[in-house]
Amino acid sequence: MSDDHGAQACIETALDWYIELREAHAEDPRRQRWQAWIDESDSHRQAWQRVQALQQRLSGDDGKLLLSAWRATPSAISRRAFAGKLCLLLGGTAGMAYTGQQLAWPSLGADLRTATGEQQRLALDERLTLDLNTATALDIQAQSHGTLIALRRGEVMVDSRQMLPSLTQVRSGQALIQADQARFAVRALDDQPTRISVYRGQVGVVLADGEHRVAAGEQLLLTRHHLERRPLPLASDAWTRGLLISAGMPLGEFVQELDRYRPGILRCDPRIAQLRISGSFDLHQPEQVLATLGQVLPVQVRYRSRYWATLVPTA
Amino acid sequence: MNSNNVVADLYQAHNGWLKGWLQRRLGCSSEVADLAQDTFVKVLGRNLEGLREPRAFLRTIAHGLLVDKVRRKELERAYLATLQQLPEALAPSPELTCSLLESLYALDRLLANLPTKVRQAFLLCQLDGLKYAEAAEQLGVTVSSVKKYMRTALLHCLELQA
Repeated sequence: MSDDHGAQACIETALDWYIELREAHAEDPRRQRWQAWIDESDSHRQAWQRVQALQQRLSGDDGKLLLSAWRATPSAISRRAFAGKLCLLLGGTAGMAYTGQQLAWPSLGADLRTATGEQQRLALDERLTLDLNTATALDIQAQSHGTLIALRRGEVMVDSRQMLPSLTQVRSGQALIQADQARFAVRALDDQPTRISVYRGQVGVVLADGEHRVAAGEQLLLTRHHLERRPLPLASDAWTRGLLISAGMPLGEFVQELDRYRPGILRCDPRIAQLRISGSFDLHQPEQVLATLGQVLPVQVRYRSRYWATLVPTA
Repeated sequence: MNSNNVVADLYQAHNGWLKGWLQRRLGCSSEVADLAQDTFVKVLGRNLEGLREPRAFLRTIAHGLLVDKVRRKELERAYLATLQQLPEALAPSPELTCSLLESLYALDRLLANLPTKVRQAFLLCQLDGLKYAEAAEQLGVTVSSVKKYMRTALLHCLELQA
């Protein structure tokens, strides 16, 4: 028991050293004290070796792959807010089981989901086809008068060919979007206005103040307090064909868009965010797109790690 | 009454209902029967005295199993999507993939149990290679907090490895 206790104390001290020295200069005087601590006993040495082995595992290719994959799961974001509930769910403790509460979880309760970089087409029946874009989660519910889709996060293209009185309805936050015969997209990303784009037919957008009609060729931007109507941007549905098509889009906006399809972090240096980019790009190959940018604009990619990339001006 | 009899009664009375409940969530899936079975297996050996709302109880357990299953699929998909981004030479062999997926499930449990800030600091420093000060700026906390978070996360990882 006391041996176990001693071993645990050694591990914790070794970890303290690792944390202290992670960013220490090679000449840092603390390194001598650290070396002295290791030389003090075999158990110190073994503890250090364990910490070192863990670090090698985590920063090796496999470790990075696993951590990145974890971060690419759609619920990695909602999980941040619901971590407490998750412990209960996965732990499945008996005490909690008796409460019988319905557990809400924005992403996991979802019927359908895509990972970052993944897209999925789903023909529900001959009257309804859905395209799920990257990092999307939604529920589908059959109703007596059609189908209700609850968009939890991400983006969905709906191709509805219902016969009235049947409707396809999409709920996203406070808005209910409904149509019988229409092709429209609803996009709900964190910290961005909900975007409703109509490509065929027309849809009704039901808000607290009543129903707003949106016709083909129009786009509605919704925030909690504001509603803006504008013409559809060029080829804004190109993602359903796996493409990002841009005609003079500011680079900052382009990078933000591409970031949605790429695991990890992608940033744009503000100094080049206003450069304009035109072209057609393959969303399934975001790394290649990044490489291409350098050929057409005075920019280059700086990788902090394989997954953290920043677009900066050419030196 | 011993607890296995309680389970047998529970099974008799609610198996059909539970399958229906699962079916509404899974659709016409071959997994419905398996999951119902697993739910009752989980109930075995638990103290069921004084169970007032058996269906709420079963539903909660079944929901937990469902979430676990869905989560595993989600992790697998994210793993494959991430893999596709790698140059072929760096991709692991199929045999390795199997054990890596097991590691990924374990990692998921570990990360899920960490407080939010600890997890964020860990990913920023460990995966993105940020310095303490950079991570501190991103998270809006002090450098000493980031160090404390990293220590907590690594200690959990060490326990997992042990």
